Amino acid sequence: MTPVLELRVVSRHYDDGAAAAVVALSSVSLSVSPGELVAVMGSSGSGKSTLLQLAGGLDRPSDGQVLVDGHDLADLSARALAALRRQRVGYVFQRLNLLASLTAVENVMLPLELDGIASRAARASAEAALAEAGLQGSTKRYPDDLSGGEQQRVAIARAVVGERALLLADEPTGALDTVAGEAILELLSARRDAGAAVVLVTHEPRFAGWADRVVFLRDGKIIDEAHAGRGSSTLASRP
Amino acid sequence: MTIAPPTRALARLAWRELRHRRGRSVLVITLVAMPVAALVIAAVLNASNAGSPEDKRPLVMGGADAVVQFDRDDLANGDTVNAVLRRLPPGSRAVNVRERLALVPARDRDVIVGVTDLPLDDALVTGKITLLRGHPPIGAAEVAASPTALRDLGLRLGDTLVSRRLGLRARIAAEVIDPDDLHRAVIVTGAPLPAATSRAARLLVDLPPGNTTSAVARLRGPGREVKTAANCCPDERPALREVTLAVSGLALFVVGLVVAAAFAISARRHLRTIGLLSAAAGADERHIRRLALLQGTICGGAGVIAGFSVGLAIVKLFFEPHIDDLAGRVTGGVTLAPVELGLIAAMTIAATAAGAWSPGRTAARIPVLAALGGRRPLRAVPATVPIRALATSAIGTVLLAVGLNGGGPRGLTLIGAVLIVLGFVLCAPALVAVLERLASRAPGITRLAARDIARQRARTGPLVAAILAVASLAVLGSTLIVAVERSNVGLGEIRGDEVVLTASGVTGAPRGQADVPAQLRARPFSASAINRSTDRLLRARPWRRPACRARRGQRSPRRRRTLRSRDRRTPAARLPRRRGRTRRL
Repeated sequence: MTPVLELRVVSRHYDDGAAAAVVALSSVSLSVSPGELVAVMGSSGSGKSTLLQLAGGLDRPSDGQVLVDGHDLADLSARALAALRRQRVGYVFQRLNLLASLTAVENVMLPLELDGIASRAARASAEAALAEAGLQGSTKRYPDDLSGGEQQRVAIARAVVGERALLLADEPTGALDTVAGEAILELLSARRDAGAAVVLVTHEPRFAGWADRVVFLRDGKIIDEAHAGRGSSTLASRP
Repeated sequence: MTIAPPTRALARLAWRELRHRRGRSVLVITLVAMPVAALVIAAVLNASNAGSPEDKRPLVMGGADAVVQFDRDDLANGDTVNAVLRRLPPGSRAVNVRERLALVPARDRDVIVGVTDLPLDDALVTGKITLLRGHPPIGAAEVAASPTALRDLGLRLGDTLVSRRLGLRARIAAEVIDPDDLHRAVIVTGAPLPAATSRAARLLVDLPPGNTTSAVARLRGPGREVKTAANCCPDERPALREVTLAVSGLALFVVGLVVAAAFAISARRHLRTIGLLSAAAGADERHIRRLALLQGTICGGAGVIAGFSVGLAIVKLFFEPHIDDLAGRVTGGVTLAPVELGLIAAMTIAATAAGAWSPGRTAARIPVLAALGGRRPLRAVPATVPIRALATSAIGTVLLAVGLNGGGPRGLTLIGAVLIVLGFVLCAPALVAVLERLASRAPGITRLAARDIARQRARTGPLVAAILAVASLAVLGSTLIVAVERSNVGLGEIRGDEVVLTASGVTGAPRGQADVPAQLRARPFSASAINRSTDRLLRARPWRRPACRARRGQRSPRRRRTLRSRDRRTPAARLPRRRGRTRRL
């Protein structure tokens, strides 16, 4: 099966003229297939978020290739990259995910409208995505009126609306309590079951337990991978 | 017409963002509305004051089909008026009106009043003088006077006016006003003025049915001008409109800069929105730019609505009741000037949209991750920026100088002024960047402030640019005023041995060093004054200031020449001297 996301020996270092460049990611290779949920774990500064940003085309690698849906992101213009993010990639941040001046449904329908889909059709799709996230009654509420968990669910609805093949979640449960966190993981898991490739960055082992595969990063390098079935024991043995 | 979904979504977002950031929006709308209100007031008052040719026609023509106007040369030849009367088409009716200025003694001083023998009860005079109270003066024993004349002379209706110079002792039978000059001191006599004492005369002619005005056009001759409905009142509105729009354009250019500063200052908080739009909603640079443009357009539209509302309300409440007093003539009420107002509205929205688009364009180029973090990369100011700024200002100065001296195409002055302001504005980033270098030598808190300003130059740059723009406009304005004053010095400082000759109806400028008065006399023109003892003319130049015209609405600015005569010189010294804008004859 063709992977939705493929990182080929990707490195990212920041060189701002100082004598020693900061290496955020070093020769990382990773592929994520459709219907797979991969969790990326590691301590702070290990390169988790950098990996996700490179996968989402928010940043460019210093070396290596990033392929999404078979497209090398380095070959894409800024406009094509934006179109890819709009159509194929969903992104969920830890917090401040939503545009505060738009209602929940308007936040979700925004990528579709920017893509040229008529407002009525976009609204219908957005409402369906919100219903799937369990927010049928909150479509017209503004983000400030929603709880943290509800905001994340709206963000996930926005990330999956349309035909997104890749869902990137950067610590989506970081600011949530356990129950709300579990609900978010259920949603991501449902997207995985619907055929999307999901990459979840987290530092909480209990959420990584939902993943088909767990990738461990340290100092910008992948130091280990654990697959479903033995994930729990592997995670338990990690510090 | 359907709006494309992306535009609809961005318009919604722009509107909601403006509502969400009320403080900034109110600030921007206020910054737009204030100058717009001032421009609306200026445009409306200007248009009301200008009046249409149809409005002015009765003031010049009365109820006549044609007016034959004589200057003093003709009056010196006693037969001329009668000769003209004999050449009128059979069946014509004419009213001979004489006018002069006279010094009339009041209690403590002599008062200059205009004296005319307009027959107020004649239909041909309708519109030239309005009877306010009393009855038209009858015979030599009665006169009518304007409120200004009554006030200056300390007289009232029913009092007796005595003037030895005019040979007048008459009861004031009526109070009248000149609708073309409400503040004019004028006396209308009941009996005709003696031709010998008159300074000017005109025949108001009523042509018999079937005769066109071309029948009287042939009466034109040296010292004799013939006015008809077609040529009596040149439309001054286009020229005034150009001035209004030029001033509006310049003012709104600064408004655009101020709006850009306001949008740029709040851009840091806006960066997160832009980052989210790019990262989570897949917006590209076009979308970000369009969002900024829409925000500017909405702010501009709101500013126009607010500015127009305030401006028109001020006109209605404070100016409309006194519009005639302010204009100094009967205006027929406030004229809204839809063309000027429409263009001001369009220019405002364009300026505001451009002002918002500029920081939007910069923000669209910020990397997504920097935008998400609310960070704006600080780039060094290119070394060419100050050079370009100086060059722009220098080019603007040259264009302005050429434009002010009457060279080049129309609008050159405005382009020059805009370039000068633009040059100042371009200096802003370099000036702010210099602060960073100076900061290290500054003490304590000053260093902190200077460095903060320099490090945040994305925000402070547009603000400094706006301040520079306003400062440069002030300098520019005062320079223009000085330039105009210098060009007007000829009329402003008339010495005792000089007279000013204002000529109109001259086809082409008199050139060469021949006898200019003879040249002028050979053409139809009217003179406000001439030094009869010498007839010497030393200088002449185009004259453009409408306020200095002797009689409103009678002369075309393009055909005007102001001449100065001086008589205490040798023949060689009387030759034209080239000085400043003086033109050699």
